[in-house]
Amino acid sequence: MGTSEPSFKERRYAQTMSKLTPLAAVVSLAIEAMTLGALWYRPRALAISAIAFGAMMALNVYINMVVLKRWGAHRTETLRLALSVTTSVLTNHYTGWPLPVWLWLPYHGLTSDGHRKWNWIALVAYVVPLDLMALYDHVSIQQPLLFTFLAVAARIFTDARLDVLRTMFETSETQRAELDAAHATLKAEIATREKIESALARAQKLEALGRVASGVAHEINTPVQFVSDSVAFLRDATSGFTRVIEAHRARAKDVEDVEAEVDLDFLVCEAPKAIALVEVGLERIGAIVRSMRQVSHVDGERMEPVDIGQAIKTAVTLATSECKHVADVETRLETLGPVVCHGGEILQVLLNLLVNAAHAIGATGKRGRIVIATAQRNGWVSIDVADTGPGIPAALHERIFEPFFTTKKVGQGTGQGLAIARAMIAHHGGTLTFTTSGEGTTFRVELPADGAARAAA
Amino acid sequence: MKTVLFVDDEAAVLQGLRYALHGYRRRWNLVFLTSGTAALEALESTTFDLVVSDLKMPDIDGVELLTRVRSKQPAAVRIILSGNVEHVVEDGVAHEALRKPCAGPALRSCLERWLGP
Repeated sequence: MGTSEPSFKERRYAQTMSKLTPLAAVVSLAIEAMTLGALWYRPRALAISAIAFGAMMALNVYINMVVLKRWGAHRTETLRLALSVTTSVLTNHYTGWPLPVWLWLPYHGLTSDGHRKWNWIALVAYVVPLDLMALYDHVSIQQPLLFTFLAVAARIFTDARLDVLRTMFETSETQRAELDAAHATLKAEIATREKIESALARAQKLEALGRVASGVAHEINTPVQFVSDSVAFLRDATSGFTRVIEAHRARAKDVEDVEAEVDLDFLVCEAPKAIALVEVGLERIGAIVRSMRQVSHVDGERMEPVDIGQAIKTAVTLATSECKHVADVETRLETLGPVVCHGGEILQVLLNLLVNAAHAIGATGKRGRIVIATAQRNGWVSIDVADTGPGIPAALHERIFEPFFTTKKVGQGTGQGLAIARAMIAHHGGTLTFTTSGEGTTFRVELPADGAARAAA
Repeated sequence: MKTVLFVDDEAAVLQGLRYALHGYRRRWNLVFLTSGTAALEALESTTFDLVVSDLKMPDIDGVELLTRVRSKQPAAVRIILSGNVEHVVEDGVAHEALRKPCAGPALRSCLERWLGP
């Protein structure tokens, strides 16, 4: 028990007691000072009282420093009581019971070490010998009677006061425990919430990717088509070359027939082109796969410097199949410094804006144009995505950023794209706005270039 | 000799098809065109036995092209070669739909089936 951490209650109690001990010392000194004052005209009694008090003080210090550690609290207190009673009885006997010494009785009633029963025993053990000795010394009976009454009253008052104190400690301990429990619950809830939020962010990325998924598959299938054809052709070409070479080696007379049969001229002309086609196709597939990985990449806690121009190119790659049949995509990119942001989120926003632009143009039924332009000024970067679609009707201006608001048919859009995009840009300390007319709509993303610092402000 | 027309907006795809069908160069007359408009022009001057078309093309949609082929040259076999054949192809627009990527052997066996030996 001694080695374990003291409870909250014990600590509060010890704190209170350590504040009371100096007070007790001051009161003791005051009583002794009054006693000495009452004896000032009797030098012998003065000396006895002063020496007895000094000796008791010194003994108390010695007891606290040495005996307490060897004997333990209970036996030490018994010793202290015995010494105190003996000294008081003898000193008062020899000094003739000056009035202030009776103050020791209520004083003992007011001190406490927290053990109610022991305090009463100690009081009786102190008061009874003192009273008896006083009566033996023919002191008028009013004094022992009055101060014994005061001592008992003080004892009762102290017990009551301690009860109140203990109740208060216990209440505050209960409240503290309740507060701790509430704190733990809150922490658990915050952790759950964070987990849900990160799952949601992942789900939203997948949704952005889902909007272009079938198009992306198509974009991959096209190069796969011509890469496989080219590789198969190169395999056949190689076997054709081998046959011609073998015919040459055998000095065969029909070399020319073999060359014509395998169409050597065509093979020699086309083989390098087929290899180039394979390279082009694989490069295209690689670019698409890299772009998909960039969108599905889960951003860490921290924002990082991102090349916005590169992000735009990635978004354009992914949205190719949404855009290429309805519009020409043009990029006018200013040279921007790196922008501190969550790259995956910005990419997702750009992808959403691009797909929306393509859909808007698709609704007009004629081929249009999507222009993506960037600019930088006063520490802010702006990205404009402009389409030549039919524009947004005035009645819908207020609503397009509302979650689940969509003008598309069921299954074509969940109405989340712009709501999420605006939330993500706001999270970066930026804005997402639009201007629209009958000739088209321009969405503008504005971001602080030093993202983190401004977003935090 | 039978004449086959291939239409795809992606020149690389046509080049791949040319490679895949190189072995048939003496058997069939192969024509490759990169736009629906060019294909429509070719329909005026040439009779095709079979037309293979992509679906999504910038100028003329594959479905529209094949519909025009059906009205102008009803004898021509119409085949779709696209990455996205989930697209509803109404009955009669095409005889068969091939999904990209379509390996050389699959394409060749399809053509042989329709064009005969």
